[in-house]
Amino acid sequence: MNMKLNKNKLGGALLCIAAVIVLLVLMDLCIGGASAWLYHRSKYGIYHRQQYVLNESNDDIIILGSSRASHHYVPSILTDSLGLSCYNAGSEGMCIYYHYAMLASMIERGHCPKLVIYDVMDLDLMEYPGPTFTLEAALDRLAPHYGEFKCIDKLFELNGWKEKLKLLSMTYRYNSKLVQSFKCNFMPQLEDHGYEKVVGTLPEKDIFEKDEYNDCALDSLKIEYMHRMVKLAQQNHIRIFFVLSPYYKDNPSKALDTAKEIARHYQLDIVDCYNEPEMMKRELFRDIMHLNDEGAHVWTAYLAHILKDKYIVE
Amino acid sequence: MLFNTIDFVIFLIAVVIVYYAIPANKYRKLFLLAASYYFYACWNVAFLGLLVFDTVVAYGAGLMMEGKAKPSQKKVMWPSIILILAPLFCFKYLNFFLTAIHDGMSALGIAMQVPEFEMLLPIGISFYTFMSVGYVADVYLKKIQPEHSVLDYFLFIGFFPQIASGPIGRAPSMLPQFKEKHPFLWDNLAIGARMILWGFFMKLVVGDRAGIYVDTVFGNFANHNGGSLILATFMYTIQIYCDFAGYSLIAIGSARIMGYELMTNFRRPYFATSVTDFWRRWHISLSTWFRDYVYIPCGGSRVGDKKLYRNIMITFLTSGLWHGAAYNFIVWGAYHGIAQVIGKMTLAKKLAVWKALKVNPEGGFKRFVDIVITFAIVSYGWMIFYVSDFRAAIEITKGYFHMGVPYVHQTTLFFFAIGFLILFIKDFKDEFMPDRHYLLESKYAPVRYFSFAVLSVLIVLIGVLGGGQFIYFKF
Repeated sequence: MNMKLNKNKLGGALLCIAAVIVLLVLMDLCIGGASAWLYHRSKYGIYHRQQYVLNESNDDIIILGSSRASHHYVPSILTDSLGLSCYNAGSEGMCIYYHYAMLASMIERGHCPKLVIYDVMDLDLMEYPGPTFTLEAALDRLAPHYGEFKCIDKLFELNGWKEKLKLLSMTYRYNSKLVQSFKCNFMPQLEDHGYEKVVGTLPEKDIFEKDEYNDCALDSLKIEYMHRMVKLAQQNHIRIFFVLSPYYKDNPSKALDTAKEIARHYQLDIVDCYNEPEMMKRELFRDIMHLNDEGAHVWTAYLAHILKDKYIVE
Repeated sequence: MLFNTIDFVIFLIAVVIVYYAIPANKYRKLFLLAASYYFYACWNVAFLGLLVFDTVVAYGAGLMMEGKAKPSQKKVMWPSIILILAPLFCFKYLNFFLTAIHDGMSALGIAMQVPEFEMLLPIGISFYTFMSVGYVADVYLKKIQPEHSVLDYFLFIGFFPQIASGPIGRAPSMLPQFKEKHPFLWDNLAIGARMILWGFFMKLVVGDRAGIYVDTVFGNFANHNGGSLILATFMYTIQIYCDFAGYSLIAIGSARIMGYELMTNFRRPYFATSVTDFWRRWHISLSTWFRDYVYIPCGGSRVGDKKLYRNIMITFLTSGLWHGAAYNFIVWGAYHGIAQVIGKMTLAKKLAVWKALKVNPEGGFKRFVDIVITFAIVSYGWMIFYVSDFRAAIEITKGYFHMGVPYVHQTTLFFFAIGFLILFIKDFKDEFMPDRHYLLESKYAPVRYFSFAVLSVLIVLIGVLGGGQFIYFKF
C-alpha cells in the first residue's frame, strides 16, 4: 500500500497546513509563555510599576499622567505632608486611555483611592500622529493584561475584531517587550513609589518663551475618555485634581483649554502651575517639559502645601 | 490595504481559497481582476479611474498598432505614451516643474507667480504607468503581439500583488501566464508562503526597527554626532533594502501561491562589487526597464566612451526623477550615474593598482574590498535619498566628521541587531553557498515546518507590528 502523502491533493495539503499550524500554536505558547513569565516577575521599572498599580496598590493617593507625572511627583513628600500613602503611576508616552485604564482597573478590583492627582497634558486630548500618546501605545503597554480586567478589554474592543484576533497569540501580547522585561528583572532601578528622578539642568540655549496659541485638532475619543475617567472617579467618591505642573515655556493650547473646561464642568479642583513664577527657574528643569530631581522635590512640596489647604482642611 | 497588516493576510487567504475553488480559468481571472480592483480601491476608489485610463489607452494602442507599418505604428505609439504618462506627470511632477520654473525665473530676477495644486499621489502610479509604456513599446518593437483579451490585459496591469509597488511586470513574461490555468501545487504554496514570511521578516523585524533609529537621528541631525549619523546612514541603507525587498518578496510570494511567477526584484544588492553591479541586483524590474526603454534606445554601451557616459547619465537622471519629484532624487540619480562613469573611467587604473600590490584581481580579498567600497558609496547615496532638503545632506556630511559615541536606544538596537544578523547570514549563504539549503529550504519537511513556525513567532515577538507604510509606496 502506497502511504506517500500527495500534497497536491486537497487532503494532503490540508494535513501539511494543519501540521504547520499546530507547530505555530505550540511555538507561540512556548515563546509567549516564557515572555509572560519574564514580564510578570518584573522587579523594577515600568513593568513592575504597572503591575503594582493594576494588581496590588492600596494607596490613598494615585498620581496619573505621562512622563511629566512620573518625573514631577515625589510620593514620599506627599505622604509626609498629607499623612496618606501615595504612588506615582505616571508613565512615559501614555495619554488618557492609559490613565483611565489604571484608575478603572484599581476600582474594578475593589480599591478606590481617596485622591487622584492627574497631571494633565495637551496630548491627552490632541490628535497625535506619533507612536506615543495614542490608543495604540496604551494598548501595546496593556496587552499583557488583556483578559484580566474588563475595563482594559473594552479598550481593546475599540480597535475592533482584528485586534482580538491578534490577541489570540500569546506572543503578540509581549511584542517588543523582551529587552524591557530583561531590564525590569535584572537591572535594578532606583525609584520612590513610582517616582523616577531625572538629573541634569536645562541647556543654556533653551530660554523661556511664549508659543503661538496652538489651535490643535482635538481627538473626540480622547475627550470622551477624559469624561469617562472623571465620571468614574466621581461615581466612586474619589476626589480628582487636575494639575498642570510646571513647564518651561508658555504653551497655550486649545487642548489645555478643553481640559480646564471639563474640570470646570464637573466642578473639579484645578491646580494650574503651568508657568508658576516660583517654579520658572532654569536650575529646576532638565528640559523644557521635565523638572529635574531638585525641581520635582520643590514642586511636590509646593503642591503638597496647596493640597493640604484644599484637601485636608476640607 | 498594506501588505504588512492583518487585513492583507485575511484578504490573501480568502482570495487564494476562492481562486482555487473556481474551476474555469476565465472565471478565475474575472475574480482575480475584481479582487485586484477591490485591493486597489481600498486606498482611494477615485484613483481606480486613473488605473483604468492607463490600461485602456495602452490596450487600445496595442490593437491600433497591429498589422501596421512602422511609421504608422509610431503615429500611434508616441501619442499613446504621452497619454499614458499624462496622469503621472500631473499628479507627480506638475508642482515640481512649476516650482522649478519659479525658482529658475527668480534666479534670473524675474518675479512670477505659479499655481500650486494640492494632489495626493495615487498609489502605484509610477509602476503601472511604466508597465503600460513598456507594453506599448514592446508591441512597437515586436517583442510581443498585441493582446486581444481585455481580461488578460486588464489583469496584467491591475494584478494586485504588483499593483502598488511592483515588481514592474513585463508583458512578454506575464501575459502568457494568464492564458493558462494554474492547478494547485503544494510547491507553489510552500515557496510562496516562505517568500511572504521572509518578506515580513525583512520589513517588520529589520526594516521598520531600523527606521525607528533612522527617523530619530536624521529627524534631529543637528543634535547628533558623527557616530550616530554614520550608524543612522548604515541603518537606513539596511532599512530601505529590507523595506522594498521585503515588499517585493511578499508580492512575488502572493502571486506564486496562485501559480504566477513575477520577476525577481532583488538579488542581495549589498554584495555588489561595483555601483554598476549594484544596479544589476537592486530593483531589477526597474533597472531592466530603464535599460530596455531608455539606455539601449539611447545607444547603450555599443558606442564610444563619451556617448556611453552620456547614456549612463541620462538613464540615472531619469531614474532619479522616477523616484520622486524633488531635487534630492535628481541629485541621487546623478550621484549614481557619476559613480558608474568614474568606475568605468578608472577601471584600468584600479586593476593596475591591484596588480602592483600583488593582489589577485579575481581573488576574495579584492572582492571583499570592492563590496565594502560599493556599500559605502551606495550608503552615502541613500542619505541623499532620505533627506528632502539638500542643505540637510550637506550638514549631515559635515556632521560625519564630528565623531563621538553613537546615541544608543537599547531596545531598537538590540532587536535590529538580532534581525540584521539573521538577514546577513541568510544573504551571505545565498550569495556564496547557493547550493546549500538549510532550515526553511531544508530537504526535510519537519525542519522546514519547524523553521517556518519559529520564524513566524520571532516576527510576532520582535517585529514592529504597527502597520508602517512601505517607503516605495510614495514613488
